[in-house]
Amino acid sequence: MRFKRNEVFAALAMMGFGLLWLWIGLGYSWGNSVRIGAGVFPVALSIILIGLCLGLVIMARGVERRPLGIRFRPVALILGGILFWALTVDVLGFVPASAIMLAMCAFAERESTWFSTVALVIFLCVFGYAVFIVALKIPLSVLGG
Amino acid sequence: MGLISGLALGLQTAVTLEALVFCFLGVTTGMFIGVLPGIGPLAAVAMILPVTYHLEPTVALIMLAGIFYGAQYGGSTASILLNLPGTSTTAVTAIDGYPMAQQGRAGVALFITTLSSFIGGCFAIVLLMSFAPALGTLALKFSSAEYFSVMLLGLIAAATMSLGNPIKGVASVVAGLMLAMVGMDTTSGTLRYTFGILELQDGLSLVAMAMGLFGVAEILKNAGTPERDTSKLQSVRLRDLLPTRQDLGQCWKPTLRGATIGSFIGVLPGAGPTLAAFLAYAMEKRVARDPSRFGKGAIEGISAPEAANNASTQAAFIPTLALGIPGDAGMAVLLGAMMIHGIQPHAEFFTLHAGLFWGLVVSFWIGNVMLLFLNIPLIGLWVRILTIPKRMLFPSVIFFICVGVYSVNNNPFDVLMVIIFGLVGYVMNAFQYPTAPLLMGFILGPMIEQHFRRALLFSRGDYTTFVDRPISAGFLAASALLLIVMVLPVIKRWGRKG
Repeated sequence: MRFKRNEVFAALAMMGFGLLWLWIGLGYSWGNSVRIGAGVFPVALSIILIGLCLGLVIMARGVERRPLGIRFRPVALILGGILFWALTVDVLGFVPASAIMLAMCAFAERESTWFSTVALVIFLCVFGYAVFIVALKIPLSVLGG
Repeated sequence: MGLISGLALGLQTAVTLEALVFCFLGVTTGMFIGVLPGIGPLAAVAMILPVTYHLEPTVALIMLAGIFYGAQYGGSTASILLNLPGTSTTAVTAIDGYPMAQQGRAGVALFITTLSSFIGGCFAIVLLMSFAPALGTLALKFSSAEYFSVMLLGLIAAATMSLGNPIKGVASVVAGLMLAMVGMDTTSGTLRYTFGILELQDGLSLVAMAMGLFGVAEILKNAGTPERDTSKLQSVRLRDLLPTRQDLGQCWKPTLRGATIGSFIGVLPGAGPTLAAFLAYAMEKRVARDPSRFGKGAIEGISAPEAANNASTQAAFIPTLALGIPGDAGMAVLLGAMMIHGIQPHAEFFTLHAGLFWGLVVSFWIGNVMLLFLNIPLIGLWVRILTIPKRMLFPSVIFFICVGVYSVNNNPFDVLMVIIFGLVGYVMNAFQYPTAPLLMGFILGPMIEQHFRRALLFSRGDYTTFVDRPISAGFLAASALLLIVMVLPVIKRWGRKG
């Protein structure tokens, strides 16, 4: 019997989440029928999710028709850019963190050039400084410290 | 409060310089975001959220709401001109809108979609004014058992009525409910699923989750693909806009049918504007004398879904405001924004926050009229927005999302959560699991658990309380029926194949 590998993989990943939640949830109090405990909902939901995922695995019979089309380069650059921003904004400051994040996101697109990227970075840093820090008073330091 | 005195109160609230300016800002942002393919209204909310902290809650809500219905107007522009939906809710408009543009009738199509959106919106606002306060009064009689059952119905509707495999939808809702368990359990004080992380004690951040699942995930989906081909973009002149008498005659009935379907779908908790637009289109195809015209530029094929999606967006405010149960994923985020501003919608909302409710209603009228005038004379400008390249647009949106999410708690932790949910959303989209039900489950999770536990406390542990109370039993029966009707065909189809 053939299975759609993508479908099975997705359902198993979801099931993994269910098993983790079930395992942790079993450690919470069960309560009694009048005052049900903190564990009842998580455990019940985990069991439902695991059941649904089993169903999805069984239903995934057949032949794959559609490729997934996951592109790693842009995904890594954009998520990496956000990660860099989150980790450094309080250390390096708003302008350096944003500049590097924007450059990383811009180069996720193949059409980006250095010129267009620098122009974008300068524009958004000035705009962001004026709107977020000066006008809206969000407590971000401009440069580190 | 009566309709007239309510409207008078609303005029006082919504017709101030501040409210008008921010209503304008909201609808313009919504329109702008709606026009641009690849980013939806939820990303726009993140960009605007930091602005709203400094505003009065009423003005903040007027602006945030404006983004949602503004986006419904803008979304059709890209659908018609480029065959690319600006927002998912206008995907269906491309089926007949793009052929119209190829026949040189892009202007007419844009005019008709704007007009239909306006009529659909007005239709739903009238319903909102007439029925929301009444529903609120009815909800005063609700106890926890009723709340549990109506929320269950909402969740099942959200799970099964999205397009695609309903079992994946249910799995998505359940996963959302499970994520809602993170943080301190309000009943017992137990810390659940915090993994020892201090920031998780208050639960996962709704804003971070919404921005990750809808803002970042959408961008990841479109990033790195070839730049949009805008060379074929036609310029649209004002005199191209005017429809013929025949056009108007053909589309007024479909518009009204679309508005009715849209309002009905909008009121159902969990069923959103995308579904409304698809149903309205299917309906027109069925009642048409010559269904073969559809897909080749039939004007009914754009007016009905456009009326439906805007009506649905406005009608979704009815359950959101009256019961605190969001009508769709967008309303769920709006609900979250209201909570940030310290407003908890519930049955007494209409008496406690009468000014807010009527102010919002009047602002809907004002905003829809603004959009009508913004859209038609400035059509050339909106078309030009479509030529903004992705390499400029996407980094800017990510930048606004980062700062917007950071500003909620002034803490970069939430930005890290955006990365995780962005990745989760991207993977779920790739494997065709719907993400909107996940968000719905997450929002309703704490409430549904609390009402379930409270109902059992009141009934001294007797589970029959959910079926003994007639309103609650009705909701439960409807939930079961919906589940069977939606899931059975999938299982049958599978059985035949195997």
